[in-house]
Amino acid sequence: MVRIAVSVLVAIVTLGPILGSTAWAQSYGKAERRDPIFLRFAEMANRYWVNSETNSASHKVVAIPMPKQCAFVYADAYTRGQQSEREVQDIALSSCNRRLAELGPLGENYGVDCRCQVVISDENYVVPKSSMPDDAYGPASIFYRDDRGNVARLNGLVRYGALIGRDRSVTFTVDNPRGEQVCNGTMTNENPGSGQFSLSCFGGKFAGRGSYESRTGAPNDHIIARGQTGRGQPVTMVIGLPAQLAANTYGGL
Amino acid sequence: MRLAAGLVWLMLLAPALAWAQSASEVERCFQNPSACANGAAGGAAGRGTTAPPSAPVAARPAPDYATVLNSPEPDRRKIQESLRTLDKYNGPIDGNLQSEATMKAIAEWQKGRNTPAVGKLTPQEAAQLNAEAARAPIRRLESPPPQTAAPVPLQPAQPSNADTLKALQAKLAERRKAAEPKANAAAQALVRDLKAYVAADGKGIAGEQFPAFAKWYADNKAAGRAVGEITPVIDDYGDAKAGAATTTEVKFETKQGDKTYGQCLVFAWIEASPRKNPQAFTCDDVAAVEKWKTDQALKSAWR
Repeated sequence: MVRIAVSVLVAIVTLGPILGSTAWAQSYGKAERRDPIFLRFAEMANRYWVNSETNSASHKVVAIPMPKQCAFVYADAYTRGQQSEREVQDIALSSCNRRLAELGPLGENYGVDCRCQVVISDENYVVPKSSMPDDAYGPASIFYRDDRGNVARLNGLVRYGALIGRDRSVTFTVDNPRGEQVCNGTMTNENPGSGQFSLSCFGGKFAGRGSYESRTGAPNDHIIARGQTGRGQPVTMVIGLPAQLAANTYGGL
Repeated sequence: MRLAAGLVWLMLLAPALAWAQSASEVERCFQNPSACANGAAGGAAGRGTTAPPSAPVAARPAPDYATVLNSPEPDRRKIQESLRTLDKYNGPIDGNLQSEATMKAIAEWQKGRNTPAVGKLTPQEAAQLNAEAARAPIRRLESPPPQTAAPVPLQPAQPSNADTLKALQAKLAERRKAAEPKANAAAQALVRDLKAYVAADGKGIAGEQFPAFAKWYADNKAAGRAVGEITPVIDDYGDAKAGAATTTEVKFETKQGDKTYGQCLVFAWIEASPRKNPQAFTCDDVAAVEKWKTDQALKSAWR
């Protein structure tokens, strides 16, 4: 009798999670409001956790480009009973792909292939938590005009604390597409969405500072920082737009 | 407090001020930071006090890119034509040497010569580029020269790039025309299987071969949507390592009540019975479709 009870208990413990999970996706733990992905994308966090319309949806899905350094855009999708979880995932994925396509190619910024992927579905991670962005990342472009009028266009990716605009000061690093750290700097918040920045590259051989401003909305949320080098030459840094879009928008210095 | 911050800033700037900040130098360092971190570019912080007060960078003047950038338009167009001849550039011949595509092409050419890929040309480089292009007819578009022991005398007239391009386009059109019957037959066979699957309400080989399609159908059915018209458009066709490969975009008309929705999937497979390596993708997952083609080593006869 005891043996039977133990066998049943073991079966429940071992088979329960397998039967409970969906066939196509494994859960990697509960998503939480304070996770970096939600700190990074505050509007999405609001929809996912706060807004009563979307918060109480029957299926809630988040898709972002992966690997983690590519996660500078996102797509979230919600339904209230009309669609299956898989359909909502498809919508989020498709929306994320469309956003990436609209922003243009990322090859000049990244050495890796950035692809949209569903990462959270119904408040569960469907990718290992360790693979999720632990900080804020995004494509970065630095434009610099020297005293002969030649313009340098430096494209790579930036990594910074997720709380620009909330923390008083945030440090950042810029990597070239080969993943080598080339520059670092700080952004010091003065007003909501704006402040001062400083940038230092190649061991301090190239440096500049000035002011930055966060811009939200189309074509994508981004940060534009404009300043000067020590010699008074203009330097502009754009965070959050792929190289071509950044050059077309701000490359004229 | 402000004074202290100013001093820190000045200390940070000291190496920068000692370094010649030419745009090309900055680009070079960005692409290869290790080459700049060792002080090769001059002005590294922390150098010994006994070092002579010379400026190493000043000994090497910054490359002159302005001359070519400001050269007359015909000269700039000529550079773009040369890049095109060398198969580095496929953009417009508009004389804009600072366009993304042109700079990329120049950088690629420079990379091929093991020189810094800055995307801009010095006058010497421009002359070398034009000379290289003049020596290099577009051989890749032509059949290989006959193998003969004796040297072949030079032909008096080489075909122009425009003629060669026309010949290539004609060749592509011919190749596609030859492939069309097979590609159409493959696509129509797929549509028959898809229709049979829909008619059998989710049973048949289309669902077995393309699980993603079966799932898509089941999801639509669960949502109360019925599948109507099915229209294929061939995306690509050609020989792959395992046989003839086809990728076809299929538009589905789905109906729910009086509403009609257009949906789209891309089907990819190697022609065989049963189909080999079949996969279905959403139409916006272009990257996955292209990856499938790469995995199959598809040589397109369609594009």
